[in-house]
Parts: sequence; C-alpha cells; structure tokens
Amino acid sequence: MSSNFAVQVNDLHKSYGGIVAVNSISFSIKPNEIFALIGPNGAGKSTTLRMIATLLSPTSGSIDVFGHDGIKESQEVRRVISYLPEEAGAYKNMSGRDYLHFMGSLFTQDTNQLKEFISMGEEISGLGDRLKDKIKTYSKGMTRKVLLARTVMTKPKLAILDEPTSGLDVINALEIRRTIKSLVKNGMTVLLSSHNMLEIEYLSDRVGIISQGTIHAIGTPQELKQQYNAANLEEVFAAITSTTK
Amino acid sequence: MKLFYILVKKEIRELLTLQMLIPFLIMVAVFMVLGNVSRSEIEKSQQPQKLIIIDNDKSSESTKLVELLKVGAFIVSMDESHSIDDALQRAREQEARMVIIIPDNFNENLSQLKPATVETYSLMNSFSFGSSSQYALLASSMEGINQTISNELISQQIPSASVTELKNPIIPVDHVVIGDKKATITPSEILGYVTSQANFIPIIMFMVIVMSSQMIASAIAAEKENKTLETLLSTPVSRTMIVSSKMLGAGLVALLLAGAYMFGLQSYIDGISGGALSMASSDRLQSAISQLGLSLTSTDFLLIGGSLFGAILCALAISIILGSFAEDVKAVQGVTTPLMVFVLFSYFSSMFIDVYSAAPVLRYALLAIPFTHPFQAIPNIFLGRSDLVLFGVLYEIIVFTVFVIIAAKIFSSDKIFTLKIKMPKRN
Repeated sequence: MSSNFAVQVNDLHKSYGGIVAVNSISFSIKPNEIFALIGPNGAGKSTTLRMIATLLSPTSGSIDVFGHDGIKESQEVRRVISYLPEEAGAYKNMSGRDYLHFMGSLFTQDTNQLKEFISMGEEISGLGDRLKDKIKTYSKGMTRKVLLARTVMTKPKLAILDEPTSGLDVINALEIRRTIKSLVKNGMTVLLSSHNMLEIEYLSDRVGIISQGTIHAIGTPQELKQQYNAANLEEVFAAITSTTK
Repeated sequence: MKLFYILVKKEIRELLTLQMLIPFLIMVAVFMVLGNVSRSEIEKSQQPQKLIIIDNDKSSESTKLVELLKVGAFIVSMDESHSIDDALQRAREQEARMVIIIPDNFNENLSQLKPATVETYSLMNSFSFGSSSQYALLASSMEGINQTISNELISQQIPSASVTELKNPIIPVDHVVIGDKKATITPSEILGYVTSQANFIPIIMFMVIVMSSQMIASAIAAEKENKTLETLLSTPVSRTMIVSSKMLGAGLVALLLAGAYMFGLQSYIDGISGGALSMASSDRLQSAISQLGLSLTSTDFLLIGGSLFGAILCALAISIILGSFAEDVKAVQGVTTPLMVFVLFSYFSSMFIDVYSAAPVLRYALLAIPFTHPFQAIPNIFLGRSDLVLFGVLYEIIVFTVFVIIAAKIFSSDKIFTLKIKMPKRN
C-alpha cells in the first residue's frame, strides 16, 4: 500500500447475515484533507467509519491507514486515529475535566504530554469552569463539545467524526465546524460523515456520495456541482440518487 | 501497568456511585440496627421475670418449690386470693408474664411418690423471638426443680444409693473418628462446629460470586447503554487489558460490598443469637477440634482462598460474556440468570448433598460447575481431602482460561456490538 495516502479503502464489503450494509466501496483520503461521506440514514456511512476505526471487521476488502493494515494491524491503527461516534456518550459521573484526563491517559503515559492534551481539550471544548461539573449536568451541545475536544486533543493523524454536529443548535454546530477547520490547518486529516449537505459543502475538501452501501461519486464539492450541473450538494445528491434508483 | 491501574480506577469509580452505595449502606445499617435491637430485646428478656404464684398447699414442699424458683431468674410474688382470675388480673397490672398454681395436694402426692400437678398460665402478648426465651426459661427452671425434687425423693427412699448412678445407669462416652484421628466428643457437637464454619463462610462466597457477576455484567451493559463502549474500544488500549481491568474492578467492588454486607449480616445474626455463632464453646470442644485436625491452618486458608478466587474469576469471565448480550443495564438481571442458577445449584447442593458420594451423573455434573469447588473446600479440608481442593483450583483455572479467551474474542470482534438481548418494554 502506498503511504502517500492517509487512508485507502479498497473494495470494502460488510454484511450482517443477509443484509449488505456496505457494498464494494473504494476511496482514498490525502493527508491533511477533510473527506466527507454524505448520504441518507442507513446509507452505510457509519458502518464504513466504524470499519476504518477498527470497531467492525470488514466482510472483505482492505483498509490502509497511514501505512497500517486496518484489519491485521488494528492496534497500530488505533494509535494514529481518534473516533467520535454519532451517538457517543461520556462517563456521566466524571467531570468534563476528569473525562478529558481519563481519555488522554489512554493515549499517553507522559505527564507533560497528558497535560498538553488536557489543556488543548479544555480550550477546544470552550466550557471553561463548567468542565469542573459532572457530565450528567451538561446539555447535549456541551457534551458533544467535550466529546469532540476529547477526539482531537490527542492530535491524532486521522480524526474520524461521525455526524459531528448531530443534534446541535446552529451556534454550537458552527463552533464545531470552525474547530474542525482549524484542526486541519494544524496538520490533522479528517474523515467525517453527515447527512447535512450544506455543512459538508462548507467543511470538506472532497466528498464521497454514498447510498445503499455504494459510493456513487467522489470529488470536490465544486467538481461534483459542475459534473451534475447543480447549485449545491443537495442537488448533486438528488441527481445521483434519482439515477441510481 | 499504569494504564491498567487507570482503567481499574475508572471501573471502580463508575461502579461505586452514590446511587448504588446509598441503598446498600442503608441495608447494612438496617441489619446492624436490627441486630442491636434484637440483642437489647433478648437481654431484656433474660432479666429476672416477674412471676405470680398461688400456693394452695402451703406445705414445706410447696415452699421449697417457691424458694427454688426465687433462686432461678424470677421475681416471685405470692397471690393470696386463690382465684386464678384475680391472679391473672394482678399479673396484667404488674406486667408479670406467668402465673403458677400449686395444688393443695402437692405435698401429699409427693410424699406418696405420686406426680404432683403444677399449672402454669403464660400471658402471651408478643410472639417475638425475645419473648419465646422468657417462656423457655420457666420450662427449663421447672425441669431443674423437677430433677432436684426427684433426687431428694430417691435419696429419702433409698438412702444408700447414689442418685446420679441410679438415674444414669449407662454412661455413654462418645468418640468421633475422622480419617485416622480420634477425639472424645459427640458427633452432634462436631457437626454443630463444622456446620457453623462450613455454612457461614459459603454465604460470603455466594455473596461475592453473585455480586461480582452482577457488577461486571452491569459495567459492560452500562458502557453499551451510555454509548461509551465504542469510544473506549477505539483507543490504543488492548482489548485484553480492557476486559481484565473490568474484571478486576468489578471483583474488588464486589469484595468490598460483600464484606460490608457480611459485616451487617454478622451484626444481625450476633444480635439475634447473642453471639451463639461464636465458635468453640468449651475447652473440651476446642481440644477435640484440635485432636481431629478441624482447625484451619494457613495452608488451608490459602487453598480455600485460592478456590474462592478461582470461582470469582470464573464468574467474572462468564459474566463478561453474558454482559455482552445485554444492551442496557435493565437486561443484566435477565442475562446473568443462567449463571445465578448454577451458583445456587452449587450452593444448595453443598448444604444438602455429599457431592463425592452422590450418584455419578449428579457428582460429575456438580463438579463440572466451577462454583461447586469453593463450597466443598472446607468440608474437604476437614476430611483430609486437600488434594481435591487443589484439583478444584486447577479446574477453575482451566474454566477461567477458556472463558477469558472467549471473552477476549468477543471484545476483539463485531460481536461486542451485535450480540444483544433487550428486555421488552412494558406499555
């Protein structure tokens, strides 16, 4: 596998019994790029992300993450990634700060580096003194901010964000998008999923449009809009899904 | 190692929440309060009891009976009305619990070597354990008095005879043999001692096994329910370390809770039994226990501890697998039921069946359950079968290893996310 890519996915399949969740998808992500998988609910986005995050084993196909085989070297892959699930929760009896401390300590044993992680997490979360409070007292938006901060504070080479702004209000969603943008400027690669096409258009360098477990088109938002003569990604998506039905 | 410590600390912290601790501490406190209340009630019941006597005979023998009751644990008050109804009314007013009527032919009957009837009226206003001991006290006092009067009558009739020898022409001398060791003691005394040890310790074992199973299954189910499991499993921590830290955390919390629970239970039992469970009531018993080798040495404790530890590990490994089936904490009770059935089966079998002399099918079925071995450990050691305890520990290690491998495989695969049993919601 070439290490010129941050992620390379080839002919990936995933089935649960007789149900095919992901059907022969292939794509690659360049380092320092924001790549988004967009599609409706049940399209196979989360399953793909969970396979890259080493949580699910592919039925067939291959995954390469920064030169590590996603199936045979899953432990190595987990050292360079950080994953934010769509419906992630945090340990409710911990304070926000304790949660950042606990999760950071799973990535480093070096005290100074851990302090650096926590400091970065505190800054990204933007929760200030509320980090001293237990997570069970947080709103959904605050919890999501802590979770995003936890995901990126360890400076992973690849951040996998499943619906990062899911369920958030406009202001919180905007803050999180800005954070993601700034992280990429600092050298992180981001793979995210969303069914919010406008968000993806704003955030992503390249986009893969997925439906019924198959990727139907890949390109920059601009390329896709030109290719499908569409004003925005929503129209691109509508055009693609109407031809595939 | 530091990472393992961090994970174990997190598990303990997640399990020892205030919501979990408060009801538990209340339960322990209730046990202790109940124990203290029972103890004070029993002590109160053992204070000298008020007793009203109607002496219709007023003879030297009836006076002797009254004096003997006064020497016992009674405050005697004589009633001169000679009416039972009046005496009962007086007893109610004076809070006396008993009225005794000595008939007018008491002395006459005794002098003719005929039985003399003494009637007792017990005023029952409680059915508690404490009050029962008050009535038992009178019965035992009457028995003692009966013996005293009987001895006097025999001495009067046959002055040359030894009353004790006459009343006990056969003196039984009991010996107990265990293996090649002998002691002069009754089998019931030895059984009483062994039962007190071999029954109380298995309760602790049972509690620890059940609690640790519930703890770990809840820990896994809570991670699933709170959607923290995916995040945890995507970190660069080996799945084996995650599984083992959960097991150790749950084991430690279970040990702590079982210890606290047993402390409360012990206070309660001590309270109602007045410390009757304390071992070795006499020097003679102590000596017999020592001669028969029924006291546990440090090696024996090591073997029992090893057997219990092995069973806990097995329970934890099986429960972590069962916990993987639970989608939420509510489902934990359901998924751990099969394990509880096996633990209960082993526990009750150890109380009622001699496993090693049971029918082969039952024997092997029981020995195949790893939880049978700690319950059998103490009797086996007392009977000089330490090799069977050691065999049990080895068997537990094998069972544990097999289940840990299965658990690690589940945690390393999709199954940890796809295995699920969700309890149906009630409408």
